[in-house]
Amino acid sequence: MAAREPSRYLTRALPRASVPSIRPQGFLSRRNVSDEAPARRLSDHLTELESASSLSTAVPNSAAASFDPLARAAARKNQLPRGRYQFRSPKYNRGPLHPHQPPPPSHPSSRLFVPGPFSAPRAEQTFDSTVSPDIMTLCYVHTPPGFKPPPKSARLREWDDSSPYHKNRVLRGPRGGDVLRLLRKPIKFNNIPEIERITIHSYVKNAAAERNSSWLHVAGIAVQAISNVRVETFKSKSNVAPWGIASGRDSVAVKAELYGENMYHFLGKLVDVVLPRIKDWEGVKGSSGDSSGNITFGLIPENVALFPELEINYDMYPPKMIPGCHITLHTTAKTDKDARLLLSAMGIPFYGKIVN
Amino acid sequence: MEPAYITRDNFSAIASTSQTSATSPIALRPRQPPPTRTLPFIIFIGIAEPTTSNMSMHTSLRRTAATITNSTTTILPTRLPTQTSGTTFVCSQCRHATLLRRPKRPYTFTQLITLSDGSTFTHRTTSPAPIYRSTRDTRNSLLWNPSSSKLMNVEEDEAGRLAAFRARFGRSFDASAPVDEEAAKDPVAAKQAEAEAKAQAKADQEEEDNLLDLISAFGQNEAPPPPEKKTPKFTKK
Repeated sequence: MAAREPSRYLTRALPRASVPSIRPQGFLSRRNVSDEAPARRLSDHLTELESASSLSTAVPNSAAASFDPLARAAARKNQLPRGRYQFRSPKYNRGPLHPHQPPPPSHPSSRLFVPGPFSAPRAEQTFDSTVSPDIMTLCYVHTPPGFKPPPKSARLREWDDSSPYHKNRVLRGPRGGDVLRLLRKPIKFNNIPEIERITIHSYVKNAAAERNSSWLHVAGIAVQAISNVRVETFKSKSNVAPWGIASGRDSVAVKAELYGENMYHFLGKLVDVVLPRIKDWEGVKGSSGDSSGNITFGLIPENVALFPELEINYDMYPPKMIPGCHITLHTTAKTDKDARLLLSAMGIPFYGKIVN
Repeated sequence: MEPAYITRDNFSAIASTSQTSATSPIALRPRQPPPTRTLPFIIFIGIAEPTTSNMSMHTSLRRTAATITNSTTTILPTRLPTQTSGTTFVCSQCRHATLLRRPKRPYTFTQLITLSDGSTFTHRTTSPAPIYRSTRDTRNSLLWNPSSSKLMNVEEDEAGRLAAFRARFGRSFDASAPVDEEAAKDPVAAKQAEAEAKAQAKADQEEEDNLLDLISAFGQNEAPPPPEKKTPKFTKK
């Protein structure tokens, strides 16, 4: 058998000592113990090597003959418990090379599977039926047939080759600042801006200042109640001595990310019920926004308490611990102007100087 | 030719030889056993105060921190039962296996929201109340209905009493209304204007009545038509 003798690779891989030397041993009269010892030990181990690989072992015939799952199932008097007939996802993800792979999260048997959506939120229906055609109409720009838009200069400027050192240099950023804004394409039927997700974030000042986690508990539960989503907690990233926070030590913030169904339910509730009840509320400030289509506004604790979920058992929450929050509406619009158009169509008023 | 298989038995031999000689290729150098295997139990306790981490929320930071076993590893076999509480993350054998946590979702109810104008819609909410009646919403707030005169804060002053009061006792800010000033300057003229307005209204009313009479009396003033002779249009032949 070929595997009996030490293979070519093994010989090459093993240290020089094991390889039979070309030089005749007798030529060198001097011998050391250290010369001999590893070679002898290695040869011992080489004899211990398993000659056959485990891959080539054949299954014994008796095992193959006794394997008859159909007969076993037929011979069974009672059914197995329900779970035995179902695929059960592994509890751990052990990496891509492990033979037991968990199913994808979209599969119902996955541990990460989230069923739904189960309802058609009113805000989403409004968007689909009314808002999106309106936006498409409003953003329509007519160009006569045969019109060609004037060529735009490149966003990243090239270097004039006045110097030989300009060769292979990275391109320069745009004039007037290094920020590359998002590219706004003309709005057609397939890129109508829509609401992508909503983030509710609440920084709880007293959680760090008072060394008392109850602030964070109340904030987390309140945010969960108004958003239908389990919140995440965050520790401070930076040290701010006057606020009494140290990086990595204090859990100071709570965040909930809303997508899809939850997001539209929250938006509808916010616009229809909560915002109109805020006293002397003018709207969202017109200069809000990150100039790439995401708009943030804040609610003070008194406003958060107006949510029907907090109102229904207001006694559960210690009144002074109800958090304020920042609500960020992430849209797929590329500019704040489009985002404001969308959000005002969805019922969020803006006031003041509109900065686009 | 087959490659050399490394079995459990020859593994240590090859490992030892490869460590002794400098010329051994990297390919056969054995993977170093993870250092954490030397400790029987490695318990990572969150840095945060325990009350915070008792909160059953997703704490992504803590989970990532649990894989780092450098500074705060302690051997605490007595704390093993706290594994279920979520306070501590027990890593008895650290392999690179990530727990697939089932996502936690709060229970939601379907709630019917009745707006102030009677329109309703349902939504999913954590509030267990089946119906929510709102008194103040987009239907009756001025910010969403800027042109609604009903919602605007306009004082009703049909009798002119408020205006008269203002004319008499008004200070600078409320005496500045132009209509009130006229009334204050010339009460006689105001009365005259009022009388004129009344007369005008009366005239309008009369005219309207006349019109109504005209309409209602349209068919009645004419003489009733003479009775027709009963002559069949189609006679039988």
